[in-house]
Amino acid sequence: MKRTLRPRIVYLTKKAAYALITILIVIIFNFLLFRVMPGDPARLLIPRGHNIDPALITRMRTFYGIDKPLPTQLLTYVVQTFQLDFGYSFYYKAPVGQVIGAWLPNTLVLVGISETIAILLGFSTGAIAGWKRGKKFDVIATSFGLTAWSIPTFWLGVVLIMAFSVQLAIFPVGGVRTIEMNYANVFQQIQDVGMHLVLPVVTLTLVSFAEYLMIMRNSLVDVMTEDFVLTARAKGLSEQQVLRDHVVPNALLPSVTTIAIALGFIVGGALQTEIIFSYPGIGMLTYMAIEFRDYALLQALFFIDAVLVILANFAADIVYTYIDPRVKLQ
Amino acid sequence: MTALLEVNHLKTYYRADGDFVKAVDDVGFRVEKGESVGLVGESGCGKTTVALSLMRLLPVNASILGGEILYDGQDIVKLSDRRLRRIRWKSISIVFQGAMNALNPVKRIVDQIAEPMLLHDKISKEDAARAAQKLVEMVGIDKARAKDYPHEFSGGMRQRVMIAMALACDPRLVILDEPTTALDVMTKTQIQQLVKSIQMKMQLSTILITHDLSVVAETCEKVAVMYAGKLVEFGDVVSAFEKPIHPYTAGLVKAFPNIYGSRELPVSIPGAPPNLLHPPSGCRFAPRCPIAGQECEQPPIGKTLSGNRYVECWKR
Amino acid sequence: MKKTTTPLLRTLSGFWTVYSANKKGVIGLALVVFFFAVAALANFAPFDPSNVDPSRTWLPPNSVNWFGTDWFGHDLFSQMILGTRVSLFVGVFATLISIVIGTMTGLLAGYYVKRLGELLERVIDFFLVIPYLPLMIVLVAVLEATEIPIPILWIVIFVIGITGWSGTARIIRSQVLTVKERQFVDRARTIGAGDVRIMIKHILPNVFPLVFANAVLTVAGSVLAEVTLDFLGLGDVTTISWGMMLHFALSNSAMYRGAWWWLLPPGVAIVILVMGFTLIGYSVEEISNPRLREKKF
Repeated sequence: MKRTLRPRIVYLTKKAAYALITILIVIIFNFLLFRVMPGDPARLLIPRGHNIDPALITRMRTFYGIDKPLPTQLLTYVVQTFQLDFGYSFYYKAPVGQVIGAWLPNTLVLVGISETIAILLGFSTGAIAGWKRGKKFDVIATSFGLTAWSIPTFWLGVVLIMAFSVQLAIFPVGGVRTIEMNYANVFQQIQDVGMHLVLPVVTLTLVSFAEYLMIMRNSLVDVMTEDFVLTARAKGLSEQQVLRDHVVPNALLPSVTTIAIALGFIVGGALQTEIIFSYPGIGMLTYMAIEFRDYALLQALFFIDAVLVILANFAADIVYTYIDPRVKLQ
Repeated sequence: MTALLEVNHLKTYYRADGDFVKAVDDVGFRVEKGESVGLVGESGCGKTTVALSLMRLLPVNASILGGEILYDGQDIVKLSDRRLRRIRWKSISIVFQGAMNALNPVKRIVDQIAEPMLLHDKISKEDAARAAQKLVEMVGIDKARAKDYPHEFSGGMRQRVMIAMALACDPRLVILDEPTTALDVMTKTQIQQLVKSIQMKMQLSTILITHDLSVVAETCEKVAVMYAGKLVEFGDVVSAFEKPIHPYTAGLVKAFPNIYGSRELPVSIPGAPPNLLHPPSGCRFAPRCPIAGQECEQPPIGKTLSGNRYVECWKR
Repeated sequence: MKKTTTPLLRTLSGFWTVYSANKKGVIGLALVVFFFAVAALANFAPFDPSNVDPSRTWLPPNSVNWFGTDWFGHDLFSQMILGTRVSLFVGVFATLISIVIGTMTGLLAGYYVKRLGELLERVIDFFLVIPYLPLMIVLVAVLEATEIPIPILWIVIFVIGITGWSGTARIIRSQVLTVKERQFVDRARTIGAGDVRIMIKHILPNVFPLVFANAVLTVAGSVLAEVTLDFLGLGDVTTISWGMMLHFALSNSAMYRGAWWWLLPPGVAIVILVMGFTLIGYSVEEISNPRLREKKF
C-alpha cells in the first residue's frame, strides 16, 4: 500500500503542525494572562490573606523572570513548559508538575473507561436510532439524548450518590479506595477500586453516551439520503446489509470529526464528576486549586487539559485517515 | 408475444401535508425483449418516479397506489420483499443520474461491482473480482484502475463504472435515468455509444429516461412521452418524432434545435406544467394546448391508433 | 429567488403558524415562558430569601416552607423563585455577547474567504478545541484576583460570553458560504453595492433564522455554564442562583444528611429550563433549514 502512504503522512504532518501551534498558543495565552493583568504577578500568585514567605516570593520572581524583558520571559516560559516545569504550587508545597503527575493517572483511568464504553454504546445506539428515524426507538433515544445534555454532570453525580450511596448504601460515596483498608491481595484491591469507580464511571458515561449517540444519529440521518444508499438497495441488499456495509462506514466519517468538538465538553464533564465524587484526579485537583486560589496550579491544569484534548483530536485525525480513502494532498 | 415488462395503470403518489402529489397517474407501456424504450418529458413529469416504482425504490413518503408492473409475468407491485430483492439487479438494474453520489465513497470500485454478484450468484470472491474487472474493461476503463475509489475518477468515468456495475448480474432490463445529463457533449456521445453497443451485444432491454429527445431519437426504438404524470403518447421513435400525434409531442419536437436541418428558430411551449397536488380534472395539457377544445375538460381516454401508436387525446 | 424585504409582521405570523405545528417547539416555549413569568413575579415570593429563621433549619418540605429550609434557615421555595432571575439574566446576557462576537466573526470569515477568512477559521477552530470549562475557570479565577472593580456576576457573564461564541461562528460561517453563492448576492455586487452593505442587507436576513436558533441553544449552554461555575465556587456568593444553592448545599454536606429537598429542586429546575431552550432551538432549526424538513427517506 505504498501508494497511499505519502498522502496520509502529509495530511498527518499538517495536522500535527496545527496541534503544535495550538499548544503554543495555549502556552502564550497562559503567559499573557498574568502579565497583562494589573498587579504584581508574584503577589497575584499568592492569594491575599496568606502568610507571605518572602523567600517564596523571590523564588516566584526568579521563576517567572519578572525583571527581564517580555520576549525573554516568554521564551523562558515556553522552554520551561516543554520541559514540564510549571512552577511551584504554594498549596501543595511541591513543583506543580509533580503534583499533577501524581493525580493524572487516576483521571486517565476514569476517562479511559467511561469514554470507551460511551463511544461503543453511543455509536451503536445512535446508528440504530438514525436508521429507525422517527420511530419509537429514535424518539426515545433522542429524548434521552436531549435530557442528558440538559443535566449538569455534577448534579447527576449528586443524584446518584444520594440514591445509591446514601440511601441504598451499595456504593461508596467517593474517593478511589477505602482509606484504612489494607489489601490482602490484588483482587481485593481491584474489587475495592472497582466499587469506587462504578458511580463516577456511570455518571461520566451517561453524559458522554448521550453526546455520542446524537453525533452518530445525526450523521447517519444525513448519510441515509445519499444516492449510493439507494443504489445499495437497488442491488437487492437487505436493510441490515445496507446499514452495515454502506451507511455506517460513511456515517463514521463526520462522527469522528465531530468528536473533536465534543471532547472539550467531555473534559468539563470529567472535571465535575471527579469533584462530586472526591475522586483524586486532576478534576479534584482543579477544585482544590480554585478553592485555595493556587493560580500556578490552575494555569498548568488548564494547559494539561488543553493538551489532552488536542492530543485526543490528533488521535481522531489518525483514525480518520484509516476510514476515509479520500484523504489526500490538497 | 409476452413483453419483458408490461406496466398497466400505474399510480404512484407522494404524500405531502395530508394531501397527495399525483406524480404518476395511470401510466402504462410495454418493453419488449431486446428493445430500447425512451421515456421523455419535462422535469417533474414523473419519469424518475416511474423508474423508482419499477424497482419499488420509492422514498418513504411515496407509494404505489394502483396498477401492476408485470415483469416476465410476475407483478412486481405484489411481490414480497424477499422475492423483490432477488429480482433487483439480477433481472432489472438501474443507472442513476449524476453518478456524483451514486457510488459509495469509501468502497473500491471493484468491490462495488462485485457486491451484487456475490449477493445473487453462487460465485467465489476471486471469480467475482475477476468478472468485475472484465466489466470495467468492457466500459472502456483500464483494468488496473478497478481497485481505485470513486473520487479518483472523473464524472464521465464514474458513469461508465455505474454502467459496468449495472451489468454485473447479467440483467435483462437496465433502466438509465438521465445517464448523461451532467456530462459534457463529448463524453455524452461516448457514453451513449457505449450503452448502445452493450445493449446490442448483450440483447438487453433498456428504458432510457431523459429530457433530451435527440438521444432517444438516436438510440431508442420506442418512445413514451409523459406530461404531468400522464403518458400522452407511445409508439416507435421515428414516427413519433416525424409525425407526432399528441400536440405536446409536437411541441417538444419543435422546441428542439436542429443542427443539420433548416435554420428554424426552436419554439418553446408557452405556459408551465400544472401543480400535481391539484391537477386539472380534464386533460392536463389543455391549458397549454394550441388545439384544445371543450371536450378536453374531460380526461382523455387512451386509444391505440394504426401503426401501434398509443395516444391520450380527444382531438386525434 | 426569495425576497428579503417581506413585511416583518407577515413573516412573523407566517412563522408562528409553522412553529405552532411543531410539538417540540411549543412545549419548549411553554416551559421558557413559565420561567420568565416566575422571574417577573419573583417579588411575590412568600419569604424574603435573605430572611433567616435559625429555629427552622434543615427542614424538609412543610406547610410553611413548601420546599423546606436550608442549613441556615432560609426558605428554599423563595430562593428557587428568585434564583430564576439570575439564571435567566446570566443566560441571556452571556448569550448576547457570544452571539455578537460569533455572528460578526462568522460573517467575516464566510464572506472574506481568502486571507482574513482563513485566519478567522483557525481562530474559530482554536476556540472549538479548547476545553471550555478549564478555560472559563482560569479566566474567572484570574479576573477575580485582579480586583477589577467589576461585580463578579458580570465577570461570569463576560467569561461565559467570550468562551461560547465559536459554535455560533462556525454555523454562521457555513451559512454565509452557502448564501453567498446565490444569485442575488452577485446581482447586488454587479450594481456596485459595497461589501458591508451586502453583508448587512442581503446576507444577514437570510442567515437570521439560523442565528436565532443558535442563540436559543447558546442560552441553554450559558445557563449550564453559569450553574457549573457557581457550583465550583467561582460565582457570586452573594447572589441567590440555583447554582449557588447547590454550591451551599454541597459545601454543607447536604448529600450525606439526605437533604434531598435542597439538592433536587435546583437541579430539576435547571434541567427543565435548559430543555425548554433546547427544544425551542431545535424546532426553529428544523423549520428554517429546509434540508432537515424534506429528508423523509
